Amino acid sequence: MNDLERRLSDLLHAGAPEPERTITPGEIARLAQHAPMPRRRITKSWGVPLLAAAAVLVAVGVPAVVIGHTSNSATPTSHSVGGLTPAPTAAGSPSPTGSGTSRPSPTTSITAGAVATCLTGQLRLAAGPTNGAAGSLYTSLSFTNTTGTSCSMRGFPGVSLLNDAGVIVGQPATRDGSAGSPVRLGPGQRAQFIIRVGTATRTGCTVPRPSSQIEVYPPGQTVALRIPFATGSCAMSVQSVLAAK
Amino acid sequence: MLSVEDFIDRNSRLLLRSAWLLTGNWASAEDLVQTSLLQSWLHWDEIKADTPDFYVRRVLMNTFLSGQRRRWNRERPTAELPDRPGADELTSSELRPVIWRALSGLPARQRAVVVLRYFNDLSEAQTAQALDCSVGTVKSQASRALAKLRSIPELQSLLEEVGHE
Repeated sequence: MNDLERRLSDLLHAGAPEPERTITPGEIARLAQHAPMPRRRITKSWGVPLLAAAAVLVAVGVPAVVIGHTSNSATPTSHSVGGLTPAPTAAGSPSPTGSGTSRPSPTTSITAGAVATCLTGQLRLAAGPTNGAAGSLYTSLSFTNTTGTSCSMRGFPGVSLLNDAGVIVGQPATRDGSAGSPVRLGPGQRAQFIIRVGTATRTGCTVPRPSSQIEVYPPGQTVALRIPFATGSCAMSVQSVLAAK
Repeated sequence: MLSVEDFIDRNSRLLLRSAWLLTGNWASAEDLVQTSLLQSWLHWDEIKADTPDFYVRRVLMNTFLSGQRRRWNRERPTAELPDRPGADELTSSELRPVIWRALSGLPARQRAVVVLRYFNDLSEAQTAQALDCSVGTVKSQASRALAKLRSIPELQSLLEEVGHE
């Protein structure tokens, strides 16, 4: 440090005011348990800590619980649907109908190496445990490659919540953070992503809308997977897929 | 092993002061610190083995800078009047508005570098880690910030006073 830097440092130490009140552990504990949402969406544009949060959830989320039918066959256990009307989709060949166009269009997948993009029909969707925090519920979901060949995906899944009747509740998830790197899924391997369901906000939404299923378009796909997913939501965001540990 | 409660007790004052230097008001400063500490609380098991203060600073800076991008930092209604010289000790109350006027003239990232380097007394490398950028960027941002601060007459004289005391 030169003289100017030292003087600036002295000046800041002398001039930074003492807080009028300190923040107590109890206050943070209450926030963490059941306080309404912070004034901002705390995970928005989170950058690296977002990855840290993802890593935590990934670590906590093993093994992902399959809520749909369980099957070890190569067919997906989740219901494949194209938009609102269930489309008959053979495993491995997504319906090209544009029925998902009203959803946030998933980012175009790019391949990792010479590996093809994962198609909806090759994937199984499962939800891991949910962690609550200050008006938000964080859930780790995963795609499992159910086929015998590798595929890859990159970017954001398209996520909506649905009610018992299969009707979309509220708005699709907004995207949170960057699209990340391509994730290569070998046979049986998983890619995970985190969704944040906001259950309360300080302004506006006071009654989360109930939903019973979640519908997920894998990145770059026009056919979605559905699994049971009971929650109540005011707003929702989704992070890009990461390789599961 | 340090508990998250102890960590908050030990660090919240310094974090609040840092956040005030970034935002210039207590409402935003408390927001920033609460958000950062909440993340530490939620992820304590993962970060306690590491250096939690590093993690918290990083979250705080990230929140601050992304907030700047989103402009949530706009004015919001408050029951409190803006900070102004009060019953504090003389030097602090004199310095405070001068410091904030000077810092608020810096772009957010330069302000973040100044706070980390010269208030938190981090090295260039630690500052780079906290901001997720290169050491070269820290150096260039710091020198730009210093040049700007040095050009403020009000601050110039204060820098000399502090230096000569």
